[in-house]
Amino acid sequence: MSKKYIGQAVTRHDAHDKAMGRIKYTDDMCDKGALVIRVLHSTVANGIVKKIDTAEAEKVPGVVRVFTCFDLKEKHYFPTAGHPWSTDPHHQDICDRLIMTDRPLFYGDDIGAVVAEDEVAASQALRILEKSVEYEELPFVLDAQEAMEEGAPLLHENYPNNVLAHTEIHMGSVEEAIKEPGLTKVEGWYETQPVQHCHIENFICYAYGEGDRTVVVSSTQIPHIVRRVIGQATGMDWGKFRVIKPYVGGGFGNKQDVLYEPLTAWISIQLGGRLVKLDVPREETFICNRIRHAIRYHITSWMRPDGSFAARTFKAWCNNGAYSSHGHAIAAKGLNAFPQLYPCDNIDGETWTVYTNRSVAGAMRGYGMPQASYAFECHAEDCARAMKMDPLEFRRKNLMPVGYYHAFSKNELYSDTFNQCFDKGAEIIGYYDKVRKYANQTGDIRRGIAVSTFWYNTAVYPIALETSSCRIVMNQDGSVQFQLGETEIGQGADTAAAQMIADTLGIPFDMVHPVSCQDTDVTPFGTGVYASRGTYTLGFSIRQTALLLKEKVLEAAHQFTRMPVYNLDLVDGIIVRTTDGRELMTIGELALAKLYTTDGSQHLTAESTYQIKSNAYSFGCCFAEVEVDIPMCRVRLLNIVNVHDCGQVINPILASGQVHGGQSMGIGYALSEKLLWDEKTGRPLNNNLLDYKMSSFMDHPRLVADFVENYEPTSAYGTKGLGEPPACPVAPAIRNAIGQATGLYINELPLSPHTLFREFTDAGLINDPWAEENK
Amino acid sequence: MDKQYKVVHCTINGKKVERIVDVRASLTDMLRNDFRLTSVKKGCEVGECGACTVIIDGEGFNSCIYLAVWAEGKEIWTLEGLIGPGGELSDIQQAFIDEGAIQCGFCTPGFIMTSWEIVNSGKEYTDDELRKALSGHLCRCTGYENIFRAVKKTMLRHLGKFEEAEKVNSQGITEYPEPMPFK
Amino acid sequence: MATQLLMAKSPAEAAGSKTASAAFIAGGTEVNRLGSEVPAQAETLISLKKCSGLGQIEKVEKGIKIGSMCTFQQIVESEIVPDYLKEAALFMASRTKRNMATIGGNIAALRSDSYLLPTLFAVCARVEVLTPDGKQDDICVNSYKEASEAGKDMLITAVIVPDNVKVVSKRYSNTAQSHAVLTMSAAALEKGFTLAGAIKNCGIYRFKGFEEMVRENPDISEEEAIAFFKGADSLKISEDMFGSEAYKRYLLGVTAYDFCRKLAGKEV
Repeated sequence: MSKKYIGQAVTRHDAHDKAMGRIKYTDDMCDKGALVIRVLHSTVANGIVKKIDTAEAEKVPGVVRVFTCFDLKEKHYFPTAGHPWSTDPHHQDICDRLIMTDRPLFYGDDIGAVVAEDEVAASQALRILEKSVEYEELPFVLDAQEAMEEGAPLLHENYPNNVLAHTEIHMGSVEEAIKEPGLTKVEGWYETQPVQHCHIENFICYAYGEGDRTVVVSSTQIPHIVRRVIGQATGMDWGKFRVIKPYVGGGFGNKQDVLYEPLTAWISIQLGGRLVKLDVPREETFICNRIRHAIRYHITSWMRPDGSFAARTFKAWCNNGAYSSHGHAIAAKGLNAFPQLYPCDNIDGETWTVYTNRSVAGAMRGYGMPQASYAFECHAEDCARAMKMDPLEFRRKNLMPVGYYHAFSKNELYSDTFNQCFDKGAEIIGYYDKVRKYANQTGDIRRGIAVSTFWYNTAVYPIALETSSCRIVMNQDGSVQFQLGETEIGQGADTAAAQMIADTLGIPFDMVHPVSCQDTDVTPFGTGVYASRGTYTLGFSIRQTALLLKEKVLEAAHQFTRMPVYNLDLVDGIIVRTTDGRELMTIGELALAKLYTTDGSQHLTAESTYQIKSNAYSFGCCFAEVEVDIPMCRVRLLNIVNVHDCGQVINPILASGQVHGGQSMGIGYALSEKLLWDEKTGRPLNNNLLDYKMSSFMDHPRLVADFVENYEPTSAYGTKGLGEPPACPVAPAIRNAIGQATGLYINELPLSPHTLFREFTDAGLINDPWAEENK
Repeated sequence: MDKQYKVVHCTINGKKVERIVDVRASLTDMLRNDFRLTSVKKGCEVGECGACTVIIDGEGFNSCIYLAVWAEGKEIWTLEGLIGPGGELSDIQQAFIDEGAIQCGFCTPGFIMTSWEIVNSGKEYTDDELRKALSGHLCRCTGYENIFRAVKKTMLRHLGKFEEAEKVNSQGITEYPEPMPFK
Repeated sequence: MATQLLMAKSPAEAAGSKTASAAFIAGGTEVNRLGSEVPAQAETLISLKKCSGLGQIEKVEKGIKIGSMCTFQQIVESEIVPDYLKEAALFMASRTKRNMATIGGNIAALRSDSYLLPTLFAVCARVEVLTPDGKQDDICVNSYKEASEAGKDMLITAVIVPDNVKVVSKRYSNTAQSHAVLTMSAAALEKGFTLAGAIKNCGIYRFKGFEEMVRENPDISEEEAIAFFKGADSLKISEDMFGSEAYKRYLLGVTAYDFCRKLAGKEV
């Protein structure tokens, strides 16, 4: 296989249509005659719906139907996580949701729905309906650790103390190890906050009847999983639903959950298959879709005088919100990473995933690793300081070494990735000069620089099924269409896949056309995109399928050229005789001849499934340089550099785009974003883009992305995960840089001015007229 | 109270049109529903994300918080209007493609409209001014990095500064910028 | 929720149509937002877009007169609007919103995170208003605020700001586009030092007590400034998602001190 297109910055296939504004997203495809659904959400954080009087709302002109939780005659509890199904009941996701519930568990839970002819009528009716709900209010709990206390309100009967799951790991003996003389103990609490994905296209779907089935068009990352879950939620056969995924305006994991597809499909069925649309307003996207888990960590390390770890303990409390969604998987990923990133012989770790009366947490770019990386890398910095070591040298000494093998996942670190990334990043940002220059500053305005790394692995093997299917269909002119279950959601998966196909099959890139929109009726089965699995997993099925097709092509070429197949090859669209390099015919001539020949006409297609039984580490690092205005309690991010090893870079411009996006999300996570709830009422406080602000253009410095490319030996194309890793190391790098500037290492997020004010005041860095009172 | 309607006459993408609209309808709704100009995106409906930006009488507006009836007598341009009769792209659209400034594409139409206003203003913006001029748009995919480059390059080309435009960091892996000076 | 819209053709028609169940709509950035309280209460919106004579900026005897329907962007681009007001207008980070938001609308909204009001308060701007009975008046911005809060219906037709005044302003928000926790302005007027601020979820104030303190002792220390706002009991500041009470009072103090130094020509 030649590498003509892999590694090239080819233009993404959809860029032209996106620049023209003619790409169709879900709402653009929906007929304007669709009935509008608005969801009635609970306005209590925990309670029982006693009664909903629908009479007044039904009187609003334009209202078609009002549904309430009491209209749901059959209760089919269903899971929502975009996980592959497991045939083992013990490994299936928790089924704890209903299409509508009379037992709301968070402010915003779904208790009914209005269907109207237009948006205005639906909104008017909804406003009336909200006032006609009678609740029995129950006490609620918002904090994970408080939810575990005796006497805390219980959310789900089968989960005592609200613990959805609790897992532990033990290696060696911490108890024995800490008896070693001369150890330094370093201990810290690290607190991360809930944030939201904020893809610019809100979640939207619509449904209509077709024959005896229901078609659901949805802005989702996981169409095949959505179909299964709608089946579960309605108690109907999965094949009764057809799910179509158009272009998606960003997902970031929120759309790796089944959101309102079951409700929308159910309503369409209740209305005899009428076309109904649910376009979730931004306010509801914030609190009624999914959010990032807030996780609280406690880490203790015992360090030897040489800076190595003698023993470590780790505890994490993961606030999962009111329903399971992805369940324990996110907390478990952090626990799993702990002993791997900084290996140590003696480790105790445990983690709890806890139900609380907050919005439901699910997958979000990084899947628990931005949180865990914050804790790990704040703690690593704290350990380095305690041992008076340079933080970068400390990491080089203690990080996972080359050749490290993880028995469960069978992952191996094949190359010196960490050091290579550190070296490259340090050189780009000028780390060594600046770290010396910024030491021991005084004055109001100070600068700091720091580094952080993270742990990430690609895809979900061996925890869950990894499978990918691909179909490639050749046209009369030798160009091909291909279909995959791995969805294009903006990351550029289709373009990367097309580059792979062009190289493997041996035809020009512009002859490879992605069928970008998945349709469960025609797209080969696939579980979608998540876990940064796209290029890794689809690579296997693409390579296998393209080789199958190539085999057929060369067999057909044999028919028309009379040459033996082993003397033929397909090179950039030409059938070549390998013995002398002579060009015998073009792929266009061949495809045309094969389709229309009266002697064995054949449509050249190939389709296959590959089940992946490997996984790959995907590491990198982030350097951040900040300026802190101490009296004003403000941080200005001056420079940020991420260096990643995602193996073979398939497309440099798309890859750096992924890194920029992750950095951007990390900047907001570090400095400004936080979803808030009122402690007294459980009501969300800032669920709109006015009060909750992601970093805007002006809040960004130049973003620098670079790569080291160590070909991943387990991979079909040497590549591995990149979508999520860039978001993981940013917040701790910024925290550590602020620490270098000010001497204050702050263990919570975001590092907003008012967090800094409190910390600076407590530390006496700023003029403190409250000092007396605080004592 | 019953809904109130009004006739609106305006020019959209160079064509004179008239429509009867609900007086409370937003311009976004009118453009999307009545004219199927679906490049005008709905992202927040509070004027914060900029996905719905259109040009009205030469200036960028958030059409989601602009009443359709205010469009009376106005000249409105959407992204569809920037395309030539043979499907030719304007240079700012091409720059978004070339610089990798497009990912999911949902914020793209709005960004291009504001950028179009900027590059056609004949003014040379400093980097800070450019960031400020573009800051009415939110993007969650790109970190704004490649968008910034696309706009800056096109602006310089419009000013005849072709050499300078080429020096703006090349696509893909960016060069490291000079560190900012101390304040 | 408003269902009716009146496109007023003149200020007199607009002012005369204002009743308790009607609301003015100027640029739309406030009223047309989801979650805005205005359209929820009003049945009729009175659009000022087509009102004649509200869009001019001109030099007058007392300074610069800005029509109430002038947008933030017009203010920024005007050659005669003083720089200090341009700075305040640029606090609105979104250009597309600056193209829509009007000076009159920003005043009338009386938001506690107002972009312009601290500056207008500090320079003692005058507001020209028209009452429903057709009476014209020229009142100071502070009186406008008091009358408006007392429920008096008025249409702002113009704002007059002094030129040749030294003003300093600052806005604190989490990101460039977030609501401000605090916006402050100070001016060196002929009558002396003035200081005003908009404190999120608290209100807009002229800090006259602080002004007096500075007039008596222009060389106040940072500690004194911070202590003043710490002890300013008349300000009912509470903890909310924008920050703790202590944080907001601290910001008031350090910013006031910073302004004193800057207006005295001592850069901090």
